[in-house]
Amino acid sequence: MTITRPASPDSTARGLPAPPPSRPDPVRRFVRFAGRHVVAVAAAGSLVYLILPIAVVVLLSFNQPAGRYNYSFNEFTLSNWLNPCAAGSMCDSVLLSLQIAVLATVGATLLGSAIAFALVRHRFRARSSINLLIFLPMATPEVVMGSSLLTLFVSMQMPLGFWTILIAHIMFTLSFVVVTVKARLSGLDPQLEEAGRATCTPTRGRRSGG
Amino acid sequence: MSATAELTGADRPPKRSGLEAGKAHRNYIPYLLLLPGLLWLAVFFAVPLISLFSTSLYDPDGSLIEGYRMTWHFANYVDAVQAYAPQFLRSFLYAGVATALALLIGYPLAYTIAFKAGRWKNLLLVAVIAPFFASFLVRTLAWTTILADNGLVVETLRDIGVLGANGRLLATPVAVVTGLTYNFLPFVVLPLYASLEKIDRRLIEAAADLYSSSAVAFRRVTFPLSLPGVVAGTLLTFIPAAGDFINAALLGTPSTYMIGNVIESQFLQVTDYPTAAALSVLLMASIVILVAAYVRKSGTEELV
Amino acid sequence: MTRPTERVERPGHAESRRQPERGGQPERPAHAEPAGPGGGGVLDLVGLTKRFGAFTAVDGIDLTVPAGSFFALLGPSGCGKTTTLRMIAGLENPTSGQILLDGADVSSRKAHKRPVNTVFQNYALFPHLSIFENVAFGLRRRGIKKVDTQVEEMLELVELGGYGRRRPGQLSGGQQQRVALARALINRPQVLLLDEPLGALDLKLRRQMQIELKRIQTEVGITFVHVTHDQEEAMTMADTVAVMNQGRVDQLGEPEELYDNPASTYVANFLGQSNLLRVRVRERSGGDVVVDAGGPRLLRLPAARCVSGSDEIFVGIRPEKVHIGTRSAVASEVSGEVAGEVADGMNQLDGVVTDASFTGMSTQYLVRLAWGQEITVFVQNLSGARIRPGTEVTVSWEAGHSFGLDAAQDAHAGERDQQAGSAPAGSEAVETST
Repeated sequence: MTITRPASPDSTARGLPAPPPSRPDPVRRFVRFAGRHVVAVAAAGSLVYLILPIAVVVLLSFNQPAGRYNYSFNEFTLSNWLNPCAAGSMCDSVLLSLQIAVLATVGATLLGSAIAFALVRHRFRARSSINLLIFLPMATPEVVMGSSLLTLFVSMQMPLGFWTILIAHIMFTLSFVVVTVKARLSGLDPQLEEAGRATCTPTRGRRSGG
Repeated sequence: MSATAELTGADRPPKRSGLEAGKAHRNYIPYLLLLPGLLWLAVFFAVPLISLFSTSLYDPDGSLIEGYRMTWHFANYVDAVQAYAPQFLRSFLYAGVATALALLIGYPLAYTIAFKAGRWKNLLLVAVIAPFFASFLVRTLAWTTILADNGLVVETLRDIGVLGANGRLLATPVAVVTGLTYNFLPFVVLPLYASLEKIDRRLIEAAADLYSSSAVAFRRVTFPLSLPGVVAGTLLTFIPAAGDFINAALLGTPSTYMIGNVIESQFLQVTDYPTAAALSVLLMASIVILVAAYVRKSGTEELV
Repeated sequence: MTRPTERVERPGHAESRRQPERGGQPERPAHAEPAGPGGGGVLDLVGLTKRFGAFTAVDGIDLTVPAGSFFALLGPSGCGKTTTLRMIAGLENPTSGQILLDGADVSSRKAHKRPVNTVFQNYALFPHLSIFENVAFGLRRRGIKKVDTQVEEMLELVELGGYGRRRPGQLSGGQQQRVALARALINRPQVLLLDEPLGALDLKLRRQMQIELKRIQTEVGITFVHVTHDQEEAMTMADTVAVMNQGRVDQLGEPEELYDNPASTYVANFLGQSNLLRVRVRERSGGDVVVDAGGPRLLRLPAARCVSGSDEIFVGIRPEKVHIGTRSAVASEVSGEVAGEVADGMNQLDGVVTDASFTGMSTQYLVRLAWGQEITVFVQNLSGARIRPGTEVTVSWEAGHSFGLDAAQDAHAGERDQQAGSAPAGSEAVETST
């Protein structure tokens, strides 16, 4: 496992309220400032917590590791950035990741939006069992879903690889798409839809919208 | 599961009462919309889950090579619990602590972004999702550097006496919980931000007008109105955290292993499928029960 | 040695109000002194100013709202009325100036420490609380434990008894409006602020609530400060109206007085409609100002109704105060058609009808005068006869109905604001003010 290259370009942490210009006693002034802006100071702390590991990853991307592991900074180098495809199948893996990501996004969005649309705009029986089927994957840890899929693929003697990864990813994310799109659709002002309907007669507003 | 029953609904001729008779010709549309997605979930979620459940009842003496026999061996569950109760408890403990910490750390940040950030708002939101730009593994491994024995954090903590002279963070529960909290923090901040952002500022003004200091207005108005975000954040953190194995594997030791680590190794290394399946079913069942109870108690069913 | 715990009591105020109630008085707490039937607080604004960057929203307002009165701040969107209200409530800090409540300066007090409550424009009811808890909110924040009786009474007052357990989302706009009123009133504030409280209601409900609000105000006797862009609403409800324009108070007075004797073209046009004729003053004699209207005739108006001392002024007259008659009919009516003479306290001018539109109750005529200006005349439809366009007519009005304004102003000031801002003819303008 190589972790020398960060997947992200740069992400810098800045833009928090700076302590006031220090005139008489900077420390005391800062304490007073912090007291008055407890929430902002706490938020700044949270932000540091969020950004720190990314900063470390960026830092280590310029590291020439001493041994097999790239855990502590040894020597500055640009070689990791200059030869991104040096480490074995790195570039192939990135390409594969991107392919899976794009296809999974498209697949899950299509399937999930269709479900959300049906749930919000149409009334039919068995809604609650459909809702349950949508909800369960979200309440199931990925390790459980992954392992159960593994048993399925193994028993079906499906070769593990690109397609099984894609299938799993679409399944993992489908429910989240449904929930998000559903929330958006039901949050839409009914009057808006009414207006859409009126302006789009005889075609229903939702058809031209969907 | 119920999915199979539902799916047949698509083949059923649509029946509607006279009220909507005029729209009868469109009745197949919702089923058409539902079909592909539900089919996907049925085949790749429900069916594997059923097969997982049946695997959990296989004869534990079989093996992957010789094949398993279905013996309705419910004792697998008893054995699994007896053998891995500590990991189970640890999973829920760590996930619970990480969730609480993430809420505690995430709330001020979400609040600041929603109410105080002004023109910095978008930049701060980018910062919140910045961790997603690096892969889960990479950013977890970054913590091994941050919490390393000769790192700045540990040395500072040693200096100020929080840690003993040989005290360490890596390979302790602290490291695992830190990693868990970190990895799921954006999932708390984003829904919290979304609910805080939606709050009508005039409500807070109304509270101030009605004798609430800003602290009281927060407690009585802002916080209750942000509860949907709290609930969503809690679920989005607790569920994956309880099943996580990467943080414990990278930042901990076998003594901090969680149930996810056990399931993973039973499946991939030990290949004791019945035990692994039994553990998976138990984990899923307990999470579903916890989540259902929580959602019911918090009264935000629209989340589901 | 002084006792450090001794508190300095300032008259009437939130500091004492905020003390949690011990000893369980279910009734109104003793500290809420001035309220109760017949007792609101006096509100004084002294040089109150608010700037947002380079923009001056409120420009040095001075006014006094007497205790227990119904006071309206009237003006179009962006005239600074809502900013003024927010400063009184403590939701906005004045750039300069003072806000005095019963003589005590509250300018620097935070909103939650002022004995003032607000009915917000879109009600701002707490969606997560029941109607009961919404109304009880202020009492609970002041540490009052037993709120049931008071809340029930207040809900009865606004005719929402039995609605306590519902959520705001389950009520209609008018009902929500009344909850907002109850939620503010229950605290017996020294001054109740109402920010376009009826703006979101439809016309019929608005009329109904106007009467209702007036009834409640009379009943509780609290000082009401009502912000509105609807001149009719202001005139219907308020004892005193302050017309605001570009951050300043143009004129302040009773509705009748403002209407009958406006002091600026802005007020003349914003409150109802006015005909303004630019004229030269010929002489000021006795109690009258005699002016030359450009034509053969002279017009006359009482000097007391002329706010300008200059040689050129506007003579204003409300359209419904103007009589119209065909030339011959008037000639016989008005004694001696001698040029330059002002007959019997009547002002009259000749013209030609250019338009007549029937509006049901009345007919609205446009009459073009000799020098081309058109004036509007409303005639009640008492008889069926209508004058056709093209007819030569004489318009006349009592000299005492005229008013004189400074001619240095824009004759059309306030016209557009009135059309955009208020809804006199039944258009349902739902708009927000700033």
